Amino acid sequence: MLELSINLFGITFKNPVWVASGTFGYGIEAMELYDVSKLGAVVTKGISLKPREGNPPERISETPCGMLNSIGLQNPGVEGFLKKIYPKIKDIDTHFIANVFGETEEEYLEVCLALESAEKVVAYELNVSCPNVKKGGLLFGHDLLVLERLVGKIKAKVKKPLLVKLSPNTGSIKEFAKACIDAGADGLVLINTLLGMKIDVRSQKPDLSTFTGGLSGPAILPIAVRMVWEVFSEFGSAVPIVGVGGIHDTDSALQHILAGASAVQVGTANFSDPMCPLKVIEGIKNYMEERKERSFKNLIGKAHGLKLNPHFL
Amino acid sequence: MRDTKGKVLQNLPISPRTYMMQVLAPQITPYIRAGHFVMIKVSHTKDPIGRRAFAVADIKKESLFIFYDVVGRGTELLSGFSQGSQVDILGPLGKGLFNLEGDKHLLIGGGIGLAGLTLLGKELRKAGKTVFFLYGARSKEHVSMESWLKEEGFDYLIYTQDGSYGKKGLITDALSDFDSSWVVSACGPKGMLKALKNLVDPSRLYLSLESRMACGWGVCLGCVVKNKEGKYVRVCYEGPVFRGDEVSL
Ligand SMILES: Cc1cc2nc3c(=O)[nH]c(=O)nc-3n(C[C@H](O)[C@H](O)[C@H](O)COP(=O)(O)OP(=O)(O)OC[C@H]3O[C@@H](n4cnc5c(N)ncnc54)[C@H](O)[C@@H]3O)c2cc1C
Ligand SMILES: Cc1cc2nc3c(=O)[nH]c(=O)nc-3n(C[C@H](O)[C@H](O)[C@H](O)COP(=O)(O)O)c2cc1C
Ligand code: FES
Repeated sequence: MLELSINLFGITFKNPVWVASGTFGYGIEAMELYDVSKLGAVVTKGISLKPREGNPPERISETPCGMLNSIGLQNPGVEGFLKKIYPKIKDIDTHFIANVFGETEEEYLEVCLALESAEKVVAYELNVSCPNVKKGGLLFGHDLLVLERLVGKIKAKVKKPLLVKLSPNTGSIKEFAKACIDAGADGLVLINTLLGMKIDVRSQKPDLSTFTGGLSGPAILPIAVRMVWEVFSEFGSAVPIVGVGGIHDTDSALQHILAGASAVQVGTANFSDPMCPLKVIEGIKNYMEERKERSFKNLIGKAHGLKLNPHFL
Repeated sequence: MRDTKGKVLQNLPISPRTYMMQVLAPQITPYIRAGHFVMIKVSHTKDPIGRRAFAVADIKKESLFIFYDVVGRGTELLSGFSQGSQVDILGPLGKGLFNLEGDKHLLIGGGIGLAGLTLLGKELRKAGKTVFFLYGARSKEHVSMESWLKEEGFDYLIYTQDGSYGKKGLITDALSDFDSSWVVSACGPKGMLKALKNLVDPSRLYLSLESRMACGWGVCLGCVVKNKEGKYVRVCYEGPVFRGDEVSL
């Protein structure tokens, strides 16, 4: 029997293939297409304390092998989530991870606390690519001290595992990973979108209403893999890493895993290929069969060829 | 909504810039209603990354028809699909569809927007309703779907802005001939839809909208427009058809 399930931060996931925040809603729309409970986990669209209307259009723009977005974190707020959305996902037989963001430390914390009793939500994923209003709009995830404080503060108050989703738009990903680990993060999610821009040469104007936006899709795969690799080399034995960025097929998912990811998230690929996560699950199974690899865990970080000893092996 | 593979039965130019594609897609044709659209993969590579949105213009047996203008890279690639090739289709998409109630229906298409109304015309006629098409275009070359209207035997009037074909002027010039007993459904350029909103009682006006779409199935929040409460709603999911008084353009 192939063993695809994996225990991370004290939770057993039926497989290591999840869907990324902001690319799958809350899983409701996809139910029309396939059985969402086949996924390892669903990471929700970012949830904030108060509802957010998001940015004006144009919010998306295609780029070579990728896209830019500036959705502006539109969401119904944590209360809206619990009242309107949660009842609809309660019976889906897989784990949900709440992607959480705020403009202050308190907001982050309040959202997490409001979700503590929501059973389906098994963990929090902090989106730290959000402006800190008390620090003049500097992103939480772009300042080591601010990040460490945020993670420490939430970790001290919540019962569920706390994952931090790192921004790739910083100097050294390793330093930011370390700050999170030092503050008690249970896992790291790498990576959020890269800051990019497109200009429409016909109108001679930026193509997005906010001028710049987050780049995602296959274009960012090598950057994400490199970052997973770097963080795993240094901290692979300290916390599990969840790989996200450019995954669109089995090969790209395996690259993340062999670089050190214990689980992967399919993001932008869901848009044009909604069945992608299921194809990746099958693809990983086939790969393991071909290689006579019984346990998925043995693939994690295998490209390092080192005898690293992650705590969960 | 299904993710299905269709077979291209025809993909032909019907005017200098417009193509008609017939796709055999028996898995989804029974579920398609007027107002629905589909997302089609235009490349087997990741560039361009996104599918393209097209209205289902007609259904015959197990085939669906789309009419499309070649306007950029995606539609250029689509025009290269040969007969017999496979095409990935996601659909039917959209929960907000046209209103079939009322006895008399005026269908207003601007340019290729007419393709968003043709299936509606057939459904209405089948239900025994009176249907009249107003078809507006910039000039003669942009009037590419007249033969469809003719073959299907619909009553219609064509307007071109430069007068090179049909009547000279804008379709809005014809509105005074249709009293408030007509339900108006429209699809076309934003300017036309905006003008209609000002001229027609928006509670009997139905607009099929277009917007940039990454997913087409409700998860990216890229395609939004503001509703009457000032909240962003998804064109691909709550739409693509909205009643005139439900959205601000
Ligand atoms: C619900 C819906 C139904 C549609 N039905 C039809 C139809 O029946 N026939 C037809 O010819 N066209 C239709 N369109 C428009 C069609 O999707 C665009 O013309 C097409 O996406 C252009 O792609 P391109 O790569 O050739 O153009 P480019 O200009 O190179 O595209 C660049 C980007 O902008 C997007 N884009 C460009 N124009 C539009 C547009 N008008 N609407 C939405 N996105 C756009 C593209 O998808 C792409 O992401 C519809 C659009 C929507 C949203
Ligand atoms: C349209 C869109 C919306 C997103 N929304 C969020 C969000 O709310 N919170 C978050 O942490 N990441 C968000 N992301 C980032 C993705 O979760 C993911 O980290 C990123 O897109 C890279 O992965 P990919 O290349 O597979 O898409 C969003 C991405 C896209 C494309
Ligand atoms: S196109 Fe993605 S939500 Fe509408």
